[in-house]
Amino acid sequence: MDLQQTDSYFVVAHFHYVLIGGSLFGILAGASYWWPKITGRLLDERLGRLGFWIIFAGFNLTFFPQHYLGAIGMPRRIYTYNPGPGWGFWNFWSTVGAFAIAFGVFLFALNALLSLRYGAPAGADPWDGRTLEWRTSSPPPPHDFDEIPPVYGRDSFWREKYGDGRGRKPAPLPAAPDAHGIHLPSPSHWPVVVALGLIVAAAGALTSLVVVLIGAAVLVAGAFAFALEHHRNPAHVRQDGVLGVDHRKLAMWIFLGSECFLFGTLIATYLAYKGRSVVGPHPHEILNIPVTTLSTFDLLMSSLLMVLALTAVQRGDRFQSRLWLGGTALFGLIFLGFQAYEFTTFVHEGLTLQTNLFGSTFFVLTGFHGGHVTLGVLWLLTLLVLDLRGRLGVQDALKVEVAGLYWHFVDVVWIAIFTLVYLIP
Amino acid sequence: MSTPSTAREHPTTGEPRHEHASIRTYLIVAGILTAVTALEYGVIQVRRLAPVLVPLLITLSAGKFALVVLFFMHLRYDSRVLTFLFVAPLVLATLLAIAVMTLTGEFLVFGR
Repeated sequence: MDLQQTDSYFVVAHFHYVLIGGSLFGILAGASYWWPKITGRLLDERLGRLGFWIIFAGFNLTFFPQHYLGAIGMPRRIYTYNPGPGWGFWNFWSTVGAFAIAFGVFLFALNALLSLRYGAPAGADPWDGRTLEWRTSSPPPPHDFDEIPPVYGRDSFWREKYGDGRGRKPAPLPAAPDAHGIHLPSPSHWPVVVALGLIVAAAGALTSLVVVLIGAAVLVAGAFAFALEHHRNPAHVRQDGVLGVDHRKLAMWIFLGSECFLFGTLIATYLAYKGRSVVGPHPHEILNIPVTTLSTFDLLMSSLLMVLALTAVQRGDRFQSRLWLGGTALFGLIFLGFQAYEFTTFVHEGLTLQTNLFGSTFFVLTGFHGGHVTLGVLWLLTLLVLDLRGRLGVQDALKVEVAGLYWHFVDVVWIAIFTLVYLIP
Repeated sequence: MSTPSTAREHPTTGEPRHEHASIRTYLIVAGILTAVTALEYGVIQVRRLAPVLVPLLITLSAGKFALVVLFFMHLRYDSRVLTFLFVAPLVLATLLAIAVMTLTGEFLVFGR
């Protein structure tokens, strides 16, 4: 049977029964079911039923005869044939069925369009639903729920309305004590600019470096403008969420968690290829441990200056906050100077990114770390400028704390690199 | 060393605020970090420590790592949620690194 029907019209009939019957009908059913929730308007029942039966009849008329056509020998993937085999009659009715499907879909679309203007208001729960979306208005507000709805089980809203199997309804929850209103991110055009910058940079990757730089500049400018657009919005003063932790701090810790994977992978790659370079220079010939110990000390002390800067900002001590922020940035720059010296020396001694496995893994690992330090220095200098302009008060201490978390993380990553790359023989 | 104090209110927003370590604690931590870094440099010069050098250096490094995270990053005084958010990926990343090295690298265990 399989062999006989392979590449015949039977196959076409079979998979369209699955596709149309299994998927398209489901899509239309879902669209009809949630249309009132999406738009707040009910579809016309009679027009909907008429559309359904026309599509149903058209679907069967289109595809059922194709089983028979396949069985009497019509192959798939042909658009014309001689009259001899006698396939014309059922193909004609199949075509009629296809037009019926199109007409049914047209009725569905017409019903949807008309409902927007003439449809009866749906209300929140037109189907006496069981799931949570029917608990909010139709269409739902952008934030979905004014308060987080209680969830009593899989059919939560049903249980809320009718109780469990014995009719026992859950006790309503007391109102939240602190109803501080709904605050959503403000709409912004800047993400479009960021996306545009990315597209230009990607196009530049295929054409020219200048275009990449232009795209990158647009991207960075868009990201900065997006970040600072609502900087002074008083609605953004409260940032603590349900966990009792400020959102910015929470986000930084989550980011640092992801950074563990980045550096974990880079360090693992370095160690996995350790001792496998076919040609030199090898680590023991080239790594300058005394100098790196000094740069490690420098970075550790920059962490001390960072916490001193934070405490100064928390106290409102302008002089010390500027001193320690500037000091931290300076120590970061000194570290970068050490790294630039190291990289230059290595290149002069014949170790580049392409020389051997040691060169590739070493430069990628320490280069990524140096990139992080550079970003941290820029961040610190930005805070310093804000401070010098009198825009880094006690109320902004968290901004310094979040920058500090990043800076200290860069420090602990170096602690690991120093031991695993430099000290362990 | 200072002890973690209870949450106080923020001077401007009136929200609860977790107190961090004192400046004295920060200076002590910085002193320990400096001493341990010097110790690390010292132990690699001692030939007799060669058999235990790797575990010794990793222990010293882990100690420095913990000091910075606990005191400078204030994890000792902050919400447990933050500790989980950092330590869980750190443990996973460490396991991932060990897996990569075990399968392909220096510490070959399963053969090739």
